Amino acid sequence: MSEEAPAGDVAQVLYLLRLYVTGNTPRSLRAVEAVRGVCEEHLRGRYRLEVIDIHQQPELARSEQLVAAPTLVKRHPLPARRLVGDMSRNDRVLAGLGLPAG
Amino acid sequence: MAHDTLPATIEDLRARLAEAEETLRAIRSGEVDALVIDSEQGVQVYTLKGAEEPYRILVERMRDGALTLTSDGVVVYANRHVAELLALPLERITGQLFRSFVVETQHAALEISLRAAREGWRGEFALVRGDGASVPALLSFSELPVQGVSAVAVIVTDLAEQKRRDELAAAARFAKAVLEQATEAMVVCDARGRITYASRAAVVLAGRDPAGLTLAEALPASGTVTAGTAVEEQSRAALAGSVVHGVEVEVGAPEGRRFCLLSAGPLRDGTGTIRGSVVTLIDITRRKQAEQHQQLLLRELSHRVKNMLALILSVARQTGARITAVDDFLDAFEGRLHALAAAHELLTESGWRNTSLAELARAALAAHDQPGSERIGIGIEDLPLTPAAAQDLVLVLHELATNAAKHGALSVPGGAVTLAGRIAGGELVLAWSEAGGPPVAPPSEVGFGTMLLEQIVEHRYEGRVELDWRSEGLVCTLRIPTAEFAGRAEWP
Repeated sequence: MSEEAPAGDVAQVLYLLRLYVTGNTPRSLRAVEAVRGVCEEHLRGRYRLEVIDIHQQPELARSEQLVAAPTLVKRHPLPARRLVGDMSRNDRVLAGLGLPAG
Repeated sequence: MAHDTLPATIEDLRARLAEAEETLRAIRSGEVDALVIDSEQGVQVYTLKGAEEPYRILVERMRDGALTLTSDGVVVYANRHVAELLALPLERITGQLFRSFVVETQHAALEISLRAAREGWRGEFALVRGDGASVPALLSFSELPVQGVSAVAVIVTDLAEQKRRDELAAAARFAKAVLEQATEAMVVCDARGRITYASRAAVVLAGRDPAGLTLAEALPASGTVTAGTAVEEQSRAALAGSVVHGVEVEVGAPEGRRFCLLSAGPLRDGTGTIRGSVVTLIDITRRKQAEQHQQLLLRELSHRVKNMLALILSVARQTGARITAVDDFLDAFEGRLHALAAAHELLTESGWRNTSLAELARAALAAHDQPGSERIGIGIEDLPLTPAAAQDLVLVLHELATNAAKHGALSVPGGAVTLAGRIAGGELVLAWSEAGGPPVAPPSEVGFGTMLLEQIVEHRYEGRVELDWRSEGLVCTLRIPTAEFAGRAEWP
């Protein structure tokens, strides 16, 4: 079985993403911008991106077993994946989302 | 573990390992802002260097003052606003006991507040500025958990400024309410002459909210403008800096034209630059109408007095022409004046508007009949009469009744008179029929009564007088065209 949803349904698969950040640091701002940019380009209309400040909602960070921020978590489709650190490189974000590069 | 699931498990573990290695790499290479440690004390977020910078800027630029105090009340941090509020450089604030900036009488209250910070606490304090002046401030205390060290965060709201803002806002609200309640229509125009504000009375006058319109559009000049200048011109004059007081103007409002007293002046800002104009319009339409009505009444009164004097003179002359004895003259003259007075009273009651023919006939003949005797029967199709016609007709009826009382049916106890009136073919046909009186014969010469009848009915109204001297009593038929005789419109 493939890691992703069946190929025929790829265009319909919904993505549920969470981006954990530390307030409004430059890195947080860049991460939000970059992830939204990639989602708009590749997943337009079929993704939901939740941005969570770990200072404001640390209990969510705990349930996610987070170790650092920023972290992008792909919660759906399975398998869950996470990407920690620099989000400014598109190929890294795409790999984190399990999407083919380019 | 079943052999067939082994490859998938290995794949999953590889992916997790790669993720873990990638996370470590990101942390080592400084790509993260914070580390999350899940310890027995709960989740702790360790922010790495630089991550708090945006908050520092945010707090630094807040409109409120922000302070961090140790649990002993020593200032660890103060933002720029605190320094401005206390009129002291920052280095003379940090490191000091915060109470040194609070009036001495409130030191105890401050101690209590610091201890209550854990629950969140706020209170009004008087702060002491560097120049010795005191500033009222609202202090909000809250506990600041800084990784095991107890600290207190204080937000300082400048109440003096708050109060100034509140007072300004209240003053603005009050001014607006005053404008709204004012009975005068008040309009504010911008520099281009467009209405930016209209009071409630102005909205009523214009019949809509005139905001955005020019005055000429909202209240067009109507008919003759008393002062020869339109509202718009006055507003433009105000924009040019001149002040106009109480100019009478006539404007075309949706409800019809209105007379207004206009005052206008420039609207200057704090620097004296003209930013627009303020135009006040006091609706004086009612007063104006009352004035006009009064003038009309005065003219009318003067006219009527003249007419009445002429009429009396004419009656006196005609009465005197036929009668030589003074007593007889006085009798006849007095009777005629009484008849005129009766008509006059009816006319006054109706406000010198149209009078009812039936009422006039009853009033004119009342003096010749005993109350309850009903010797004079009146059956008249009613008709509104002009005031002039009423005066004429009352004289006619008086003559007929006087004649009947002297020589005809009313001169004996059993006699009776009927007055029948109907309107036919544009004519009022009035039939005066006497019966039960002494035998009647045509007079040898034309008497005053007959002459008066003819003069009024035939010459003034181009009607006809038919006198039938029947032996059982006189029948006088008057045919009067209603065109000149009857009042119009106002009759219900």
